[in-house]
This record gives sequence, C-alpha cells and structure tokens, in this order.
Amino acid sequence: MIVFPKKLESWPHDVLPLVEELLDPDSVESESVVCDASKLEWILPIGLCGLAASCSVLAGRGITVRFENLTASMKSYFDRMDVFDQCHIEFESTIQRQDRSDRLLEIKCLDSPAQVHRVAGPLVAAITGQMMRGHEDPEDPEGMKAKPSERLAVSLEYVMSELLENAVTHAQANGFAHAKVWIAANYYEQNNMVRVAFVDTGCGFQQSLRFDHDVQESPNDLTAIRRALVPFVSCNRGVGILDDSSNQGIGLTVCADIARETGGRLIVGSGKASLNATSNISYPHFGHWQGAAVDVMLHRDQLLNLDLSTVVRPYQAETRPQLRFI
Amino acid sequence: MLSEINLADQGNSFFGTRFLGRGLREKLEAFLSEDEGKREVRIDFANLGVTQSFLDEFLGVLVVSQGQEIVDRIAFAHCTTETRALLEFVIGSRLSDRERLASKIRVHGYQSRRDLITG
Repeated sequence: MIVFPKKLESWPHDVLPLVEELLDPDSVESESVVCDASKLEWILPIGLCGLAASCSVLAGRGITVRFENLTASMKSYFDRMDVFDQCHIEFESTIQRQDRSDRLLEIKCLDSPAQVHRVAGPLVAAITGQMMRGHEDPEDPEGMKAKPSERLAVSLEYVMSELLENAVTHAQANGFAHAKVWIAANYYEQNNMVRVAFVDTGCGFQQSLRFDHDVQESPNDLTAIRRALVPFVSCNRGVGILDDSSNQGIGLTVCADIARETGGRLIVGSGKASLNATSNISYPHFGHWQGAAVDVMLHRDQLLNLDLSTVVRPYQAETRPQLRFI
Repeated sequence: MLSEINLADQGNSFFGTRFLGRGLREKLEAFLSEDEGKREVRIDFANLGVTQSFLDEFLGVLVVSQGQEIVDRIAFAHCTTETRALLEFVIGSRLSDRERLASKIRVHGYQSRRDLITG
C-alpha cells in the first residue's frame, strides 16, 4: 500500500516521488493500486494535476486506483474539484453542486489546442473572482487604466494561455498524439499568492528539443529544460515561410519573467529533472516523469502592477519596426 | 479601400492562443488580397488582451512571408501599451527572420527545411 505524505505541494519534493511510486509496477496488487491517504492534509494544484495524470496513465494500463482513509475535508475537496472523476475513481458524490464559477473551477483535462481558450478564460474568471473578494474594483476616474480585476485577468490569462497551449502542442509531438494535459489553479489568501499548475502525459522536454545542438551534446532532461528557457530556442522555431506554425521561442521565457517580476516563481519538471526557472536552481531528482510539469506561483498585488511591455522589451530587436498606430 | 477587423466582435475578450490567431489570419489574408492585393486593413484591439503567440500566428506568419509591404497596409487601432510592445516585438522579430532567411538563400542556397531553421 502506498502512503500519501501529509502535503502534496512541490513537484520535485513530494509530488514526483509519489507519482514515481504510483507508477512502479511493484505497487500493483491484483490490478489495482491502493493508497492510504489518511495523513494527507494539504494539496496544491500541482499535487492535484500530478495525481490525475498518473492515475490516467494507470487507467491506460488497466489498473485502478483506490484512495483509502481520506479525511472528510479532503474527501469533500477532492469531490468538489472533480479529482475522483479525473483519477478514474468511482465515487458517489455527496455535495450539492452550486455555481461557484466566479470563485472556483475544477481540475480540467485538455487534449487539443482548440480547447485552450475555452478552459483558460473560465479559470481566469474564477481565480480573479477569488482574488477580488473583499477588494474594491474601482474604475479609473480618468478612464486611462483598466480596472484592477481587468488588469489581474489580462496578466493571468497571458500566463495561462501561453503555458497551456505550449503544453498541449509540445506534449502531443513525437509519437505522443494521445497525450493529455491537466490544469488546476487556486488563489491562497493567506499569502496572497495564485498557484497555477499543469502536468502532461506527453513526450517531455528532452524529446521535444532532441534536435537542439546543446541537447545533442549533453542529452539529459536538465539541459533540455534549461534550453527551453533560453529566449528564441524552441523545438519548432523556424521561419513561417516554410511552416506556418513555427514559433518564436519566448513563450516560456516570458512566463518565467512574469513570475519573477511578480515576486513568484515558475518550476519546470520533466523526466528526472526539475528546475526553478526564476532562480535557475535545479533540484535533486526523486523520481521520473516522462511528460512535463509546470508549477507557477504569482503574487496578487504585484500582478496588479505588472507592466507586460517592460517584460517583453528586452527581447525586442534593436530597431523598432515602423508600425501605423491610430 | 479600407477593411476592418474588430477583434472585440469575435466573441472573446482575450486572444491568447495560436489556434485563435490562425483563424483570424485567414480572414486578414482574404481582406489583404482584395483590390488586386492593394487593400488596407485596420485592426481594432479595443478593450482586449493578447499574447505574443496569438500575434505571431495572426500577423507574424504573414510578415515572414511578405515583409514590410504587408506591414505598411495594416493600421493598428486602440492598442494598449502592452499590445503595442507585443506588436513591435512580434513584427520586428519576424522582419529580422525574413532578412536572415533571404541572406541565407542568397549566400548558401539551402538543401533542406531543417538547414534553414537550425543552420
């Protein structure tokens, strides 16, 4: 029996080791994996996504998962967040569903880039609703600035759209066409932080960047993650004249910059490696996950003052293009 | 003649994905090809947010293939400071890509698509 830790809050430290244990063939007893969840008290979006993604992998192998001894509060939270459903666990819901879309959104699973804007928008609305609770949302008397709720929503949706579309697109390359991405997000009033997490069952960073010169020289997961964070490096950075879906290779870099600018952090995990992209510190590996995991932490008040134009400016060409603004 | 694409009319308040950019690019290309390829287009960004990826898919692809000539036929209306910075980044960077591509073809020719992208 697998014993859940007290907290599932960090990809490298507690989520990845649990995922590794869940997927270990030695953990399977009579086509099922039984987990003692009695100690579990605290789970962040990265933990929810890690559980859902690994249970989905097990379901693909015909293995069922059972969570035993969940506390009442954790059971109710898992129920509310649709964790049982996403983990393929049969569970008779006991909660009365109310529309709380202005404050809470269940964990979601995506398998197509076309779904990204349909998921990101409602998720941002829910998180913005959480963040604005008890705060005034005044219009700018001079009409020059957007309302606080609008400023929060734009910055958050920027990060979610860029990361989520990247995740779905890259995950499904290189023979992983059936890969899925799980996303969950929440706002924590105690420390004024938003947490957004993604975990996918895709090909991972090293596979994605296998043609990159540095990755070929040093083929390991950490090199691949570091390369993905270098501006203008991408698995499909090309020239649109040949391939109209080439990208510019700054999506992940800019999101890491946004996290840094807002007093937060962005942690990327893939294969055996995990890297804090905002501090460039890597973590010792406690497990392996083929796909990718991204855990973003953003500070509410600093998101309100974020100026996206200053984040992008360092990447601009020396000569500004002549554009007609009217 | 001037055509208009008002993004707010497309039913979203935020344009964050390449998926959305691709659909709108087709519309923009159709407008630009009118009047024997001389039509100008005004794109209105009022009251909405965009990402670099959306703009790259919407406009960057056309800029790489057709260069400054296409940029000169587009006017950008009601852009926030952020949208303006992102437009300058995307278009500036794609104009540089186009120049690099042109000089590569002039100097070396090319054998394969991958040579061009990675070389």
